[in-house]
Amino acid sequence: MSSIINLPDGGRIVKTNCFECHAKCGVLCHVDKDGKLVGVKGNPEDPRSQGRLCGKGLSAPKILYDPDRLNYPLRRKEGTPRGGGEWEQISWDEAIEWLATRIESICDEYGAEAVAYGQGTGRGTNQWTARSSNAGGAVNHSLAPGNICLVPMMVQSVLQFGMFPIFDGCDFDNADCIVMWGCNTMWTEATYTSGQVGRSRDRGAKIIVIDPFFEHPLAAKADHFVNVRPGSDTYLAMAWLNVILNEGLYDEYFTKKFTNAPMLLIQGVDAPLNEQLIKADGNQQVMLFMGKDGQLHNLAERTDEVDLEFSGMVTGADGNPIPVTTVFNRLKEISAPWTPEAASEKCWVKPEVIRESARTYATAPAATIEVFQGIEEQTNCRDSIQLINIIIAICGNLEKKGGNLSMPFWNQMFTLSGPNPESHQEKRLADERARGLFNGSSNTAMCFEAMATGKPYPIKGYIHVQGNPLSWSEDTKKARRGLMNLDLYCVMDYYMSPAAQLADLVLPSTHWTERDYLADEVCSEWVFGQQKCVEPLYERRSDVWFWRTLGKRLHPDWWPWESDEELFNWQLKETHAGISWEDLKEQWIHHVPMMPSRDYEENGIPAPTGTGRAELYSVVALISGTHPLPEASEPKMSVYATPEIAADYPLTAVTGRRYPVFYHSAYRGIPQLREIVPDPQVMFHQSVADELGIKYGEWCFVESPNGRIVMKARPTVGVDPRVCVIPHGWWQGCKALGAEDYPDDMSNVNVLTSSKYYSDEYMTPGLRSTLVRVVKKADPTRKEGE
Amino acid sequence: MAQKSYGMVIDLDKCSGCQACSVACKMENDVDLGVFRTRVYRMGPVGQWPDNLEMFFFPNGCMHCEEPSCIDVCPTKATYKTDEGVVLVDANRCFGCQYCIWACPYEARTLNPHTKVVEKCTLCVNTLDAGEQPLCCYTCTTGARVAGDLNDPESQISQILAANADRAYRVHPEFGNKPKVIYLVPRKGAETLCKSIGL
Repeated sequence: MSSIINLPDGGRIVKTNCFECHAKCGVLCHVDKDGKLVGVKGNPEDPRSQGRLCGKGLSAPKILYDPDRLNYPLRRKEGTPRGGGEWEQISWDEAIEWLATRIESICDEYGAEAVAYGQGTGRGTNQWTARSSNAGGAVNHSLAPGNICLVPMMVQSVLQFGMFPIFDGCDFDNADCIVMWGCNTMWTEATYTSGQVGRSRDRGAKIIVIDPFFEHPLAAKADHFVNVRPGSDTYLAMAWLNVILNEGLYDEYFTKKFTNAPMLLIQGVDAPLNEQLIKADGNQQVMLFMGKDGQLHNLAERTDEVDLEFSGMVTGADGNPIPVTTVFNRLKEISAPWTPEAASEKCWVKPEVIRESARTYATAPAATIEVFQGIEEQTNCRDSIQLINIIIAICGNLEKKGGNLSMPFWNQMFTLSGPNPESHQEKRLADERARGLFNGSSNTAMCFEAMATGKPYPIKGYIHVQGNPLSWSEDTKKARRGLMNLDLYCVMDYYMSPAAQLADLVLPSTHWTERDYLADEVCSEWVFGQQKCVEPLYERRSDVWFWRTLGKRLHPDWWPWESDEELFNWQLKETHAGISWEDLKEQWIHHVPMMPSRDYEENGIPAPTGTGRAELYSVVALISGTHPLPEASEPKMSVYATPEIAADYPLTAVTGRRYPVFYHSAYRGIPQLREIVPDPQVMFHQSVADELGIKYGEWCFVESPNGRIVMKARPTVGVDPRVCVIPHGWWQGCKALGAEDYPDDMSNVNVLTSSKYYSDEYMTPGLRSTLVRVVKKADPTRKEGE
Repeated sequence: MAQKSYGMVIDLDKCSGCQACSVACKMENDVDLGVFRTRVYRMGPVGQWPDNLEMFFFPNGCMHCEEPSCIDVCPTKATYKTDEGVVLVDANRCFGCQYCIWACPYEARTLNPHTKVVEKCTLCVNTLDAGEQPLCCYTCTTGARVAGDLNDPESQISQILAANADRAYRVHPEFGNKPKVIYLVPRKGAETLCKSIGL
């Protein structure tokens, strides 16, 4: 059936996919005979969303035709100050040539490392942003918020499992227990979540919500609401592990046969016993387990005839005894101190809630855990994600129906961006704050510092699509200082965002309804032809077209494609989708081949060391120079880690509270969405409000060691009195409702977040556990800046 | 064939407060700013942190009562009930006196500040007549809302009600309005809150 249905009145219905967020629900776009988009609704043929569509997607016509959208390439008028708001309209040809010439001149003078490429959340363009950067030939700074979104949970999962099963691979529809751990995809990725969760609850599936905030839409309905302190998930996960191991609730067969739990480690050093250590001609790459037969075996042997709890001596190649123990034993040891009672002291969850929730998860026939930014945006994200992945694996929920499933796109996307330049490792910006061992990009703060100070080398140019670093980056003041000092700043977006206001060149992006592209990322088992339903308005151009065209002008060997369609075909080929763009556009949906590990009995788990076993102990971590087993680590800034800061800033703040009607900072200007959420509201416990004499709806200050913002108070009893919940992305007003902009970052939560503390492995700042205080304003009727 | 009786069932156990219905109504009916024919309220949280708390989401709109209070008070007969039991406002007759707004016990009506006419949910009756779901139900991200013919035992709405009879509730039965928007109370996490709004 064709993807375009012509209507008797001359209009048409176009089957395509929404991109008001990454979920990319299948939609039916109704275009009238004059080519105007008049309505969007969900397409029941999308097996994920089945016709359901959120308020953002339904609002697509308003977003397409929003009078505040950018429509033409604009260049800052010569001789006017950066951010002065004086623009001249130029043609696309001139814009591309002007930009390319300036990039070339910066590269000539300072080297290619002086140009950073990036994006915000992007709109399916991760790979093209990275490709532009790699093609530059010096370093891929990747000045984009991958460190707070996707990279930690994806890379950590790939390191342990060779797949990424804790996002769109959560099999809610078949699960007997659903765990939402630091995520609310009921609002943010309703496509593959809400309908499926509802159906599973009707079947009697158990729900566990692990979240600091009771206003999570499933918290009241959950069998267990686990009220974790922000950033303390490591303790909770350790306690779950403790309960699961001590009560024997793990899946023994899967653990023995498909994880590296039986792998032998040298006691005291926690390094794997390899074959060379016991045999002179042994292979250093071969790791070992103790068989039921009392003999040492290659860990790659697929058997459950293993001694999971072996501990003792083996004879080394030199005849000396080597003390060894299993990974399984080590997991028992490291989780032993973290009884529910001990963990409770740190994570603020009652011991019985920890114990009961762990039992519910581990005893369910099939259970799925979904993780997101509540876990990711922490300085200890690596430990918590590793622990959660361990729990998934030992309970046998990996690649199990109703558990956590691999989705092939995540394994196949890596080649699209091309290889990093040879000098990448040497020139990548990282310092003692975070080595970024598992995150190949530069540290965001260091990029902005390099812009501002020229150290360790200057960054003079920054080109990004679909992003507002003044909103997404931690420590907004630092980001702003950097941007103000650039020689070349180019922003491509829908709106004249605060970042775009500082640019030299502002380029207008097409909306998803105006551009052809592929919908593959976060589309679980499918790829979709995301075709346009209207011709681009004004002079808006697609982000993909932009990267390809600029790339071709600068590095034609990297960008050989003559058209977007050629590029789509290459992308489909590289990701082994098994279909051409032409056919995909015609049929709209295509089921892609699944990973071999869906049949793990036959093919094993595709872990990086090739043993066919999920890696509870991370060999890659050891080789990379960090701890291979997870630790019960504390966030680097917290009430326990930095009590001297907490003395003045006692509340642990979750920044990044979501709304179902906005996408990050986008769409505050769409009136029927803004009507639903008119103001930025900070949420804290009623008792705090009473103590400070702050009333509901009153403007109040939120302060951290980094800065101060204003928001409206919304006291609640649904949060710990020591915790505070703050939304992000507030800058835009809404003319139709008479709502003014929030200038000078006055309500921008990242003014509060710090660029001092990062995850060593993922260079992730602790956005979800920032210490703050709430302060009553002397005159609560006046906003800051008035 | 029995006379149709249109109504809606809303499962409060499913509703996630995503507001897709609120936006769908605005888009489908081109509802003016400042006017909501349906919107979702967060009820709570109430109670004691952390383990004695309640909360649920409550989508509100016209209840299409069998015994509506709004009709009798209307001086121009602008508010009327169709054969299918759908309560509607004739915009040509309404002059915005707002008696109906005061009479409605469910706060389901709004005076449009621009047109000076009272607006409310129409149950998208033309869509229902065409055998389709109103957009608020069609798009509902959790499948919590279903509209249809309460007199047809084969209809989806009747089947949902039959399967969930123990949870079916008409808000504030003591008023005697007999709403035809029937709520299924949450299975969990809202016991005292439900009582407070007559659920």
